[in-house]
Amino acid sequence: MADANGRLVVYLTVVLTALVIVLVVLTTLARAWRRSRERRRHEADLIARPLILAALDGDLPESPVQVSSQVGRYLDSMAVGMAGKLRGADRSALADLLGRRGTVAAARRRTRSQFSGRRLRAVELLGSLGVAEAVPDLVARLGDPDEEVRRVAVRALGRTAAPEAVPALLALLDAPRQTESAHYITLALLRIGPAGTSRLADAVHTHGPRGREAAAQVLGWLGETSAVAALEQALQDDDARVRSAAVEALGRIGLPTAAPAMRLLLGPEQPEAVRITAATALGRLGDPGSAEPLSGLLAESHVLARAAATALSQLGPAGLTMLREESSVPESHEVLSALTEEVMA
Amino acid sequence: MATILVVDDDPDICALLEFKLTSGGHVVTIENDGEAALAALEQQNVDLVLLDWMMPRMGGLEVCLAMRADERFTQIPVLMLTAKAQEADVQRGLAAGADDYILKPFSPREVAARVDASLARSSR
Repeated sequence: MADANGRLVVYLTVVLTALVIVLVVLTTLARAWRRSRERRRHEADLIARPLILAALDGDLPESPVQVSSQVGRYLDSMAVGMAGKLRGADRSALADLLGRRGTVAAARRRTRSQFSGRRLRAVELLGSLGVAEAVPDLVARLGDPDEEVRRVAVRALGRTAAPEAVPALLALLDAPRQTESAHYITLALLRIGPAGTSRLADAVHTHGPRGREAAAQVLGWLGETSAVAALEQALQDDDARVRSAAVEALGRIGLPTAAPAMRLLLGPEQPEAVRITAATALGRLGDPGSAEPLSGLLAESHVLARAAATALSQLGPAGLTMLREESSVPESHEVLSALTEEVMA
Repeated sequence: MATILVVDDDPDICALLEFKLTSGGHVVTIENDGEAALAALEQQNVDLVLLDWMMPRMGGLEVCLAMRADERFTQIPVLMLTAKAQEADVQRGLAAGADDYILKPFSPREVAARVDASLARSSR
C-alpha cells in the first residue's frame, strides 16, 4: 500500500514537473515569437513609412516599388489604412504607390475570386484607395451572392467618386429583389457628388421609380441648379413619390423660377403627401408669389393646413399677412402664436 | 516656423500631419487625448492647435472651450479636424471658439495650407 502511494506521488510529481516545463517553454516561445514579430514589424515600418510619406510628397522615383513580400504586405496594409482617412490628391498618391506595386491589379483580379472573404477584402481595398479604373469590377460585385460584399461594393463605388457608378447604383433600387439599403446607396451617390449631376439628371427620367426618386433626392441635397429643368419635368412623373422627391429637391435648390411649376403640386388632384411636401418646399423656397395658393390650403385637413401655415410663415410679409387674415383657422393661429413666442424669447 | 500641437487619438493621422507640417518647416508636438493636450499647453509655447473632436478622456470640443475660457490660450488659433460633418456640429465647433473646421477624410495639403493661413492671420 505504502509502495503504491509512493509510486503515485512520484508519478504526480513527474507529471506536474513536465507540465511546468512545457508551460515555461511555451511561454518563452510565445514571448520570443512576439518579440520577433515586433522586430519584423519595426523593420518593415522603417522601409514602408518613408515610401508612403515620399508618395504623399510626390517624391517617389519613377522605377517600380520593389520590396520583400513581407514588407510589401505591411506597406499595403498601412497605405490602405491611411488612404481611408485621406481624400483628393493625397489619396490618389497612395493609390498610385500601390498601383505601381501591382497591389491594385491583384485586388481587381481578386474581386472575381471564388472565396467571398477574398472578394470582400479586394473590394474594401479598392474602395479605400478610391480606384476609379476599378469601377467595372466594383459594379460587377453589386450582384455578388454575398450580402456583405454587395454592401461594401456600394460604399466602395461612392468612394471612387466616379460618375460612371451612378446608373448602376440607382438600378439597384429597382432590382426585382432589392436587398441593399436605400440609405447606403443614397450615401454613395452623395459621396460621388457634383461629378454625378448629369447622370442623376438623366436618371430622373430614365430609371425605375425608386431610382428616379433617389436621383431627385440626391440632386436636391447636392443643391444642383443645373438639374432644375430635369426636376421640373419630374414634377409630372406618374409616380407620386418621384413627384414628391422632385418638388422637395427644387425647394432645397432654392431657385425662385421653379415656384410656378412647384405650385401645380398643391392641387386637389394630387395625393395629400405630395401636397404637403409641395407646401413645405414652397415655404423653404420663400417665394412670396406662393402666399395665395398656400392660404387656399388652410381649409384642408389638419396636417396639410399645418404645413401650409408653416410655409406661409416663411414667406416674409406676404405670408404673414395671409396668416393674420386667416387667424381664425386653428393652424394659422398655432403658427402665429409660436412665432410670437419665438420673438418674445 | 511655428510650434503646432496636433491632438488626435489616431496614430496614422498624427503621423500624416506630423510629416506634412514638419516638411512645411513647423515644429510638431503630438498628444492623443484632450487632457494631455491641455497639459502640453501648460508646459510649452504653442502657436496653433489642430484638434480632433472625438477622443478618449476629454473631447476636442471641451478642450476648445477650456482654451477659450483661459486667457493664456484665447489667442491661440484652433483648427478642428473631425469626422463630425453635420451642419449643427460645424456650428457647435465654431461656437466653442474654433477658428476653422476641417472634415475627415481630409487632405494633409489642405490642412497645411489652412494652418499657414491661420498662422498668418494670427500674426497680423
